Amino acid sequence: MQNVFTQQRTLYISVLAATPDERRHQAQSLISDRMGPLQKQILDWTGTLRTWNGERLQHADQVLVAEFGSLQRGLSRVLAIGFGSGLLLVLGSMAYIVRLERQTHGRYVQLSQSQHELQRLSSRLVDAQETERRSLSRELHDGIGQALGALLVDIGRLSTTLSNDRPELRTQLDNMKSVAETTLLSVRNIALLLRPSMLDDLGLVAALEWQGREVSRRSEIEVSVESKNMPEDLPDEYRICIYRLVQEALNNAVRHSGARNARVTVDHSAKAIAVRVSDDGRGFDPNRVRGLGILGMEERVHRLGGTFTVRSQPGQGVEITADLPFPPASGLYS
Amino acid sequence: MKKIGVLLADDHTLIRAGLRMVVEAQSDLSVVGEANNGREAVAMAAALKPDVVVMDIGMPSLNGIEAAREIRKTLPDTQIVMLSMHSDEGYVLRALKAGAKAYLLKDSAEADLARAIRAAAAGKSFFSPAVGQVLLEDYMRKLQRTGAEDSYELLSPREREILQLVAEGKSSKEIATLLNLSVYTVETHRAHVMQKLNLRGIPELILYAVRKGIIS
Repeated sequence: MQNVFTQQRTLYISVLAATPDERRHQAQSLISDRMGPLQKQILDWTGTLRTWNGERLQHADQVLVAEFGSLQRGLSRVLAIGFGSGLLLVLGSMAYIVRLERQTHGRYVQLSQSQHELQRLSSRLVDAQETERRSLSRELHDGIGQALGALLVDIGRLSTTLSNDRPELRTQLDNMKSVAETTLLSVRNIALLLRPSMLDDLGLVAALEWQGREVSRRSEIEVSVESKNMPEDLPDEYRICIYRLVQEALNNAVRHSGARNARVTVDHSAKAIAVRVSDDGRGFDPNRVRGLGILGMEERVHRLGGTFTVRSQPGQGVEITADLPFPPASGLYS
Repeated sequence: MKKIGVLLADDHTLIRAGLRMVVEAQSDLSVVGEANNGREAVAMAAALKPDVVVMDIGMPSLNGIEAAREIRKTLPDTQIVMLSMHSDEGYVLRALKAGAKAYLLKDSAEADLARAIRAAAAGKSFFSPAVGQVLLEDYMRKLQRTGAEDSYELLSPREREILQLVAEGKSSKEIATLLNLSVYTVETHRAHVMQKLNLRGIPELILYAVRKGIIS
């Protein structure tokens, strides 16, 4: 190609260098012999170049289209993957959440069930304890107590029939009597602690009054007991619940409060029995101190569907209240 | 002389046997029957009409207090001697309210039973010495701790005299004859005594008298 251009150039130079005549002379032959083929050659070259260029362009176009196509495909694939995995993630999370929720619900049901059973168990425990105590108390009272009582009666009869000329026998008999008496007394006290017979003999109010007097006798606290509208024929669950509550509250007062006075009130209104035990002792912080005694009281009260509160502050005494629905809602204890 | 008929009511055979021996040892007393529980005691009392029923306070089926109340209702001439293990005021007061004339602790039953039966048969009150002691101690402690005044000091000598006679089981008419006063005056004194001592009814008055050691 370079060659063609050089030829062309030398041709033009030779044309320019010639005189007009020569030029005129030479022109005809120049155009036909030399410029014609040269021109044609150049035209050929241009054609070749054009087709070549065209081919190149077409090729580049194709490459571009192909590249764009692959890019588009890649992009849509990425989008599809992204969208798809997002959808999957959402679905997965939803399924997970639903499963978790179901599990939580299951656990909740389980928990409330086991809580319910725990409640039943502990109320059974209270029941079993009371039954056991009662039978033990009965056993002590009827078995050992009565045998000792009979022994005392016999000893008494013996000592009245004994003639006065045997002082050593009388001393021995007196010793036997005093041993039997002390034993009888302690058996009785244990039996009473297990099951206060006044609860059966005299009813709740009398038993509470007795309890109050007992505490007054044993301790420095003077206990007053007041009752209003209490029904005579209270079911045993209620009698024992209220009795144990008052017993525990007074015991706490004796042990911890240093109180001088304690007041017990039981009051039956239209729908509930309100029990209140208060003292003027040193009190405590109920949020920090919560002994077994208080838990036990709470348990007994909750069993009968009642509410239980302890109000106290250091230096302010203690007030324990329980409200027991009475008459009870039907089917409460089964 | 006619023997005093006694019905024994106690749910414990051993105790009943012991009581029977104590009663039978006395020439003026005789056991007419033995009951095993409160309900039986009521039925047997109605059938046998004893002068005195010696009754355990705590019995199955029907306790001594309820049984005493029923017997006193249907048989006003039958007196009750209550046997108990407790010297507590609650028991004594309820036994008295149920109509018992005598209240004996089981510990000292064998020593005091005969006297108690005789007193009850004569319509008089009788209490084991220990009962009076416990009641007095409770009373004194309460006065001391609460700083209350002993209301007995408020009574005039005449009123104290009448308090004792009423507590012993005498009627206003008997007291009037005894003290040579009109029944009306005795009634007035009685009302004053009850008011000054803040007592409601004869059982509380008897309890008070026992507590103060006026009767035993």
